[in-house]
Amino acid sequence: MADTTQTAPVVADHKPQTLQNGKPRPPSRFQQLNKLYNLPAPLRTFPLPTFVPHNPLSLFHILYVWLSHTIKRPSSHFDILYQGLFSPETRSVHVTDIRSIRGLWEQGFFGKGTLSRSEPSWLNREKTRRGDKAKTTSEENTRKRRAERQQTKWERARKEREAIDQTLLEEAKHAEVHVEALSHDDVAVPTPIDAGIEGNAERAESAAQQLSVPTKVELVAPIGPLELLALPNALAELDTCTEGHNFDVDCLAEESASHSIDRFHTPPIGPLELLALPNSLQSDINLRENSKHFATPTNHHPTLLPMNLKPLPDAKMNGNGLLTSNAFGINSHAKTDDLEIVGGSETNDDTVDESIHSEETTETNGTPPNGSVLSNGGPSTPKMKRQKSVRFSPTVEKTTFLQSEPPSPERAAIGSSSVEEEPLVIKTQEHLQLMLEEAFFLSYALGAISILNTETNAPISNRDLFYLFRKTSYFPPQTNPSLSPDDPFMMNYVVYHHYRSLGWVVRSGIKFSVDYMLYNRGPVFSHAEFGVVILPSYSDPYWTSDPFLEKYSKEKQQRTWAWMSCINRVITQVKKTLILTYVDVPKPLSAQEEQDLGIDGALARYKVREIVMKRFAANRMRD
Amino acid sequence: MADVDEDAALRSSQPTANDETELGDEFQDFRFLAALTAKSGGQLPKRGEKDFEPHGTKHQDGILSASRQAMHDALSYTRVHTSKQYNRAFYYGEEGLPRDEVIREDWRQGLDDDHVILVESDKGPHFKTMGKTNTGKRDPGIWLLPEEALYLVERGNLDLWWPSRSSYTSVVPDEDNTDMKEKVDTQDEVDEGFPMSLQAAFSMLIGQDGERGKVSLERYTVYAHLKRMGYAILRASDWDVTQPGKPQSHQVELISEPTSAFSWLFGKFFAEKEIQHSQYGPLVKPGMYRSYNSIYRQIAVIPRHKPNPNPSAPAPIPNDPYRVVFLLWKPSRLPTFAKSNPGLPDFRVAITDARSTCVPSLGQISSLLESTPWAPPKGSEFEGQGKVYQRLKNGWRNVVLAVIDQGVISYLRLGEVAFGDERMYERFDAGGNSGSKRGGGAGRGGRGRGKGRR
Repeated sequence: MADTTQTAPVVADHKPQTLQNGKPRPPSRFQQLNKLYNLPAPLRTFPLPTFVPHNPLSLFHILYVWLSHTIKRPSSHFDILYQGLFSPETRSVHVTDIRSIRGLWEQGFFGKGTLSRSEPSWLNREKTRRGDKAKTTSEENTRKRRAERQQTKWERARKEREAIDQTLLEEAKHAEVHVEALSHDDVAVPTPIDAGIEGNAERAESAAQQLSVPTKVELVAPIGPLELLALPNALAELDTCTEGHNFDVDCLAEESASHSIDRFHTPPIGPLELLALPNSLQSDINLRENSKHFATPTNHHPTLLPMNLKPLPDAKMNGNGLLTSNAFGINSHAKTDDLEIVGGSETNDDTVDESIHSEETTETNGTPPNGSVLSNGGPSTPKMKRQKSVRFSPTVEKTTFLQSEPPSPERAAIGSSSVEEEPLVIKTQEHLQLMLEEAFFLSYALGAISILNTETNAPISNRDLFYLFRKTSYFPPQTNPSLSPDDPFMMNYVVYHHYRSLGWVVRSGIKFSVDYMLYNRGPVFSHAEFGVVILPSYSDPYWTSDPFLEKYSKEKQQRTWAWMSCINRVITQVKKTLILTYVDVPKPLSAQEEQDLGIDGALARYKVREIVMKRFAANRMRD
Repeated sequence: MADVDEDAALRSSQPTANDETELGDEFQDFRFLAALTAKSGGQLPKRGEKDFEPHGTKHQDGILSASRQAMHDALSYTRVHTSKQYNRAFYYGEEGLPRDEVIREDWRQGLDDDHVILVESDKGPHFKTMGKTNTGKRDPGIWLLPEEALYLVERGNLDLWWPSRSSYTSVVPDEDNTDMKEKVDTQDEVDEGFPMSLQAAFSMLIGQDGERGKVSLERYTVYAHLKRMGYAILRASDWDVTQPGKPQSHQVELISEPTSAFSWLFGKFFAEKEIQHSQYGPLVKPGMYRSYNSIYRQIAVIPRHKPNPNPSAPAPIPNDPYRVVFLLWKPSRLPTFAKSNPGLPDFRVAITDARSTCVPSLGQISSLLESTPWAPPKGSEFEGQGKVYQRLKNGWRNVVLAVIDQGVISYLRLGEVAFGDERMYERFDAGGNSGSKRGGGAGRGGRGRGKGRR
């Protein structure tokens, strides 16, 4: 929440005007902030100057200030109050004039810009967008930071990918040597063992069964539980296996792997290629299923076998999308297409369709604009018309993922020309919105704002405001004038007032799953440290005096532990501390009694208790 | 397992990851077990990178199978019980031979009602923190509480037996008891009873809270979990749910500062005027204010909580389930721990069931907190302006609440705080207002801005 752009350095070095090279140093960022956010509330104070004992003249200074204050008493309140408009539709108070907006934001961080995250900075952003680099806003900085982070992530993913590819290549080379050594062995039967490379020998075996290609005599389907148990679980185990057929399977897999790597493999380095990588195992499975589908016809039509077997290793390898970029998806698809043409009438159309379905998304991903990857893709264009859903169009990818690239030339042209042609006259379209609690605090407690009725444009008195806000806090707003002491506005306002009156900057905590966030001095200076959750408490004997009230208050107090854990988890994750703020609700009063008490009397009847809640990590508290 | 270094996994991806965030305890790299048994000795290994999907390298497969093998080896390790560590105990609960029937009253002195397991000998390190010796007998035995016995049985440190009539005397021989001795002498073979299965131990010792000689499953789960982490645990005085909770017994003597005549006189003289507010008017009346202090004093209308070691209006006595049931001592304190004189505990634990109870109400939580001793944030680590956050986070009283949901425990630390004691507005006059002019309060320039943050 804290606008990190403006987060000042932690170490406060505040000796001003340190002379450096004879020139006065420009004020530091922190000094600027300090000057801008000088007032902690929209009220001024008039302190007397300090008395400096070794400078007797300071006494005169004090006397002078004191006298001038006495003769012409200045007011702590600004001469012209800030103004807000109560908007019943949005149940908030709108501040539209620029003086009030800046004033309320800079003096106590009240409100939020309607078009901004917190500080009303839309105008600045708009100016920057149109090419006037006047000032960077926090939103822009966040965006930049996000872009950088994204870039780093890409970079990291690329490195990881490269490392994996390196290992794969090495292993493949190793395997090749192995195969050569064993070349005298009769490995004539081209069993399409796809999954072997994935280290899933089980699947390889079952695939072999499924294809019913006469591989080896030893390959008996493992049907009994014992046989199933005896199946090797991992490739490593498989390696150590001494049985001949297993070994052969392995070798074959390795061979086909190296084969395909030599042919197709280019490490996916650019963000586009990385994007085209299968995102999850699911897509990989889709691919594999596809290739299975494609393999099944071989069972039914043994006559087609030689024809089908030729592209088989390629397609199979494509199915194994793990080591290849997704461009192979298209590749395999093209092959499927070929097959379909060749095997034509016999192929079950449904199956093929399904397989295409499963590949659609990846296929569209995999059509990068640079044609080099597509070089062996063959007739990929006719396939494009089959696609039904498009997740990313290539252009979107470009704008989304290549932040390092310069902006598109036409856009830049538009930006510059508009700047040159006309001077920047942008009408502010943003206003400041105040929560009801903020508005009431400003109006009732500080007396620093006057809130106008939108219709009559007349200021609303605090008394009317009090009831208006309480009524509005219900949804739909209540017309019933008898308001209970636990209406949403009261509960919130009591807590808001409590923390504000202690000098905390209180802001909405809805983005952090809590009611309020507490800032020390304000969001531009430091992050919020505390998240406040309001919990009602009905300890007054009135609330247990009859069964109906008892049930009512019990229901109001009830919170599940799951709810609590959610909040606690979120708050811990964002490095805040959770403060459970219990508000003890007094018993209701009649309208007359309440009027006699006044607002301060009514507020004084509530009690506020804070409980700090943290996760207790038992294994970290051992010493 | 969570205490294996988790930071290694976090270091690259999440520099901002919270130090309190625990990774799921369920993901384990079992290779570290192999490393433990290897020659390298007993140092804990680092946790490796987590792979999310197979990428087809043999290297990865090798790691996976090595991990599997390590797990297999760890699980197939043969545990050996040497006769040196063999401990036998007898169950004298309600459903076997009730303790109070078999054992003379004067021999039961110093025992709680729940001490129903008699241990033959106190071999092993566990009896440093467990068990109680009965008094009134020259040759006393060691008695265990149900949770202690069950924990040891579960670990394989204790062999629990059903006793026979003569078991007690065979465990704790006593010369005074001549007729028993005679009986033992006449019998050729002493009837020792017979062993109890683990299932039987659970069904005998797990029950409802308040049942004699039993412990509820929730409490046992928490006990066993904390015990496995190495804490020393004793029952708290509010253990028994059938008894009303005891009011706070740790009253603190407050040294009230003597008010001198001088301060009395001037205190009266300079006492702040009672602030009168107009009924609806702004709390800060228009006018001239010399400081923010005076402004903020105007708007303090809501009563603030002031923590007090001896609350003037004490909360009702703690009720089930929000009462302290276990006292905890950190493992690091074990070398000096003596169960007869344990000293002040480090933590106090209350236990609640996540499904049948709700988040405590203010009444429940304040009773629970008031049953714990006064522990204000004192000392050098809490002093100074920059330590506001630390003071507030520590609180003035604290308790650990174990929220248990079907055997899964979530520990929460609750603390009584008083934001009213930390007046943030007092700093406004010091620096914020004077700004670049730098009037007074030169020493308070920092305003503690962000200093409290980690």
